[in-house]
Amino acid sequence: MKLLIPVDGSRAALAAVDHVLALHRAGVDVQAVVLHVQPRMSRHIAQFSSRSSRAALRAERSANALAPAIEALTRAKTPFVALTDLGAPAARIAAVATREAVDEIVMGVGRHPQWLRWLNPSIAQGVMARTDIPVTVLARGHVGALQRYGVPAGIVGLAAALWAVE
Amino acid sequence: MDFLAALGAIVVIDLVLAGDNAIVIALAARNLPKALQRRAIVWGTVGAVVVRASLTVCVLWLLQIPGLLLAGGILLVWIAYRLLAGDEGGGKGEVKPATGFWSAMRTIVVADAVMGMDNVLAVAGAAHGSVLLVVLGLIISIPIVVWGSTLIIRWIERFPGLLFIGGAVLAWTAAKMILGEPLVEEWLAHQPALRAAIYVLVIGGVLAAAALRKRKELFE
Repeated sequence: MKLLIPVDGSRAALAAVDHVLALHRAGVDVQAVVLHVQPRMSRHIAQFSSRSSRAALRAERSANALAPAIEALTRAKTPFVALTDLGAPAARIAAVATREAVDEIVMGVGRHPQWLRWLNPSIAQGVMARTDIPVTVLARGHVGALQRYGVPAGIVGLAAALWAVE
Repeated sequence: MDFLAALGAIVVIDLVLAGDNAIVIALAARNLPKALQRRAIVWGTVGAVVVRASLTVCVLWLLQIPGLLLAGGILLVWIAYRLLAGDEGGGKGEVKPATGFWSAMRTIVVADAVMGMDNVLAVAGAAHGSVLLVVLGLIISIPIVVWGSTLIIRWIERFPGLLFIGGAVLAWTAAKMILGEPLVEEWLAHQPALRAAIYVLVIGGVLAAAALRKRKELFE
């Protein structure tokens, strides 16, 4: 079973690695494809930097993002390949999944409050919108009271205070 | 309270608009020998602060010209939208890697002056004509940007709401600039409800437009 695991260096993304390792331990014949996608750097950065410097920085970032997944898969002796790609993450993940002919995409995502998900939709949603390959989404972490209520209340409070100053 | 609110806004603006600048500083110094890297970053940053403060003071002065506060406010609405909606990126620029102290420093200062124009406008708008606020804001935020950029990026990844707070502060500054234009101020002097509606429209409009653009990019 060929599984694509997109990682971004976050702890939540490693939930997908844990899931694949659990499948491997349970006796499933797993072949993992670990992928790190970086958005393109802005044209301003490109204007003031050399191509070689940007490539070196990207390579360094990808190595850092992939390291925990590679370490865990190596330790568990799970067969894998590690890939990097460049562009819009959801589109590139879907494209690599098709190119590599994976059976499933496994994604670990952080839990965020509804208001934030509306403002900033999850990449997993974008992947699901772009591919017919099955996508398994594993949520990690918890939405703290600060994120759920504190931030919106803080914004309203701050706005009220600034309005009072006006 | 007004002073602290303006200082807080300036620091937030400096932090959220400085992501690309921090990357350019790191890229400019990375090909130098280790011993020179730190020196290039420190002196490049000092140069960038001086240039940025001078430019901001010029813009503070320019904003006193009738009409420019309104134009600056409208431009800032666009800048806030671009911050939240994201840049398509994909630039193909090619410059020679900086291999010496002076070329790295020149890159840092010139890049900061060019890339920091959005920041200069926003800070000038938030500073209410106070040079002290501009300088204090830069002194507080630039070291955080230069030496803490990785931490800031990690925080924004962990709490993506922070970027939207930054965008809201920018939009609020834009609304304040628009409403601070003498002609508009005079027109709305006795209409507090309309002033409040403009704040809500600008901040809500920027957040909603950026969210819709993100959804469009993600799902189409």
